[in-house]
Amino acid sequence: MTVGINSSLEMKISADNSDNSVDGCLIAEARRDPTAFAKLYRRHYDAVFRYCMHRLFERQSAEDVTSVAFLKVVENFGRFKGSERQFRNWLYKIATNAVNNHLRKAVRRKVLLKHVSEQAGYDSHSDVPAEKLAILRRAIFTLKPRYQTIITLRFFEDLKSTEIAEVLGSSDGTVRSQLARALAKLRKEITANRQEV
Amino acid sequence: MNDNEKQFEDFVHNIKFDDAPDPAHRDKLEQKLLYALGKHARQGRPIEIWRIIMESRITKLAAAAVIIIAVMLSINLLDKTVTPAYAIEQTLEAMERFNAVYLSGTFGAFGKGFGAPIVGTVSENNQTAIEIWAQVNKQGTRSGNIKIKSADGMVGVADETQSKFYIPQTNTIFIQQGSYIMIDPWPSQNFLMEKQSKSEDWKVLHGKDPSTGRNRIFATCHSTKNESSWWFEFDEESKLLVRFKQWDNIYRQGKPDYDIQKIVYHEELPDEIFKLEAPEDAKIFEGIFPFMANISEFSKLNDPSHGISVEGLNKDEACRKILGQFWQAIKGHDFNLIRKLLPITADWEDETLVGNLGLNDEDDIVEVLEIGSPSDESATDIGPVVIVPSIIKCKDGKTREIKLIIQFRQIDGQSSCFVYSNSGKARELD
Repeated sequence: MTVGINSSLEMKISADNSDNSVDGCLIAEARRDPTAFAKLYRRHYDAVFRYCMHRLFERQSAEDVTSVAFLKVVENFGRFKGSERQFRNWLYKIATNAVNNHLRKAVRRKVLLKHVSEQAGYDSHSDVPAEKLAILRRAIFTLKPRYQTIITLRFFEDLKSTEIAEVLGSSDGTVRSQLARALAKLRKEITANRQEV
Repeated sequence: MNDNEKQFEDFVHNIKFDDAPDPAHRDKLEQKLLYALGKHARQGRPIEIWRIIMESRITKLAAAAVIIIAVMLSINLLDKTVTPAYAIEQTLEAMERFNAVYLSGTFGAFGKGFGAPIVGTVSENNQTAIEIWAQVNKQGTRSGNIKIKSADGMVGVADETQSKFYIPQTNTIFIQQGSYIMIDPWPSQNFLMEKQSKSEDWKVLHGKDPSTGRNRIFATCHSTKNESSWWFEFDEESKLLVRFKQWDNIYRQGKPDYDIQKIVYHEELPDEIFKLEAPEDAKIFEGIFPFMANISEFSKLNDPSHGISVEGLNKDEACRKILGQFWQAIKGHDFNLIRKLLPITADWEDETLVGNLGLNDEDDIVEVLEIGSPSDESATDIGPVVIVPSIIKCKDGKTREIKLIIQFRQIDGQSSCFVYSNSGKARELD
């Protein structure tokens, strides 16, 4: 199923901030010109897809949710009036809602967990036992969607807590304390899962 | 980064899995988005229109309701002065003396919501100049009689039971049951207090109006939940709100959706103000507003899995059947059933449903006292519609009347119906 290159989870993925000024012009243009909208989309597609992938750990679901998220962007684009940086955070916000909505469907959640279990042992390119990835996935899925969001944005998308706060519409302090709680829960789950393995 | 964060980062270090985007999916989605973009541009913004129908965005205006003292000025926020602490209660007290208000300014959302679909002359990005006259209702909760006049000549008047619009371009008067224009809540109640308590980041600054030298108080806030932000200006001496703006984003960026530049308070306004001004030869249409009649392109509304079968039932029986189920679903917060019976919400997330249908604690419905008879039959482009009133009792102890539009249709020779929308906003009964 794997297509493309295996990338490391430690790789920090985020929209290209150096192109913010270009984005700024694109956002304005994209309101009038579909070509400009397509450019804007291409600039951010990878980041949104990877974020969905890091939340769902399953390609088909990540692609579906990426589609849903970008369709929401089209629907609400006229209402977005923020800056370039805010546009990236707005995308994460929409993607987060789409992922959480997806996860809320209990059946899908079961499918995801089943898939996660089945995948253990299939990461032939991994430098570490594949169980480690499966343990991570399983542990993350035990968290509340909000905590999953915070963990993913912080460690996989490399957002600062203030940026996460903006995505979640919360305060920096709240995000920090929820991050600490999420990490404590993760540690507990990972330890327990490791013992099982 | 603290120890816990470092520890977790160490754990995920070097874990690898394939997260590379598939260019084929990216390209396919791009085509889909461009198609959706084009369709969206051609069709306007159905969700926006729906939200107006559900909530009548003009009600947000209410958000602002107040004041007086004509002020068109540039503000020098740097000119801060040391003044006594400002308490919003002082403004509320000052506003309590007035039962009526005149306001004028520009409205982005108004143009999109009402002007464009009805008049067809206001483009999405345009701001529309508007004047409003409003009188508080008997309960003192929101506007009762209200009149609105836009720069392009459209005039709307409403009380709590009926709305009328005159469109000069077609010399036509449209009349529909339900109140589609209102200021709710009336500002003298708790609107500013609510703004202060429920909004985030409430900040107050003191300054002067550079043109008059009068002391002013400026307040800003935003609500992430509503994705809105506000800017208020109060006259320090009178304590009255003299100007305000509202944005559809939390950053107070871009053109505001509402920019109220002048507010004048009155103890009363004469009844004549609220009469619809229209030529005697204007054509009159009663029923569903034309901007609500073109719905065939909402795919969910043609989807037989939405709505219910009413084969063999007359309209009265059909309305009672669907509304019985609908109110049960609302009472029980059965979101899936709500989406089925009210298909325009089919894609709404739970949170959106709760927000737009008023399924919060205060407005929660505890009992349906009466489902009335269908009336005002007219038609959309997919079939006949009727308006049906329901009397409901809410958790806050109040009894309200809400009118719902029931849409009938034939799919493959089978009769079915669904709840299309509400007709105006719920009315509080004595």
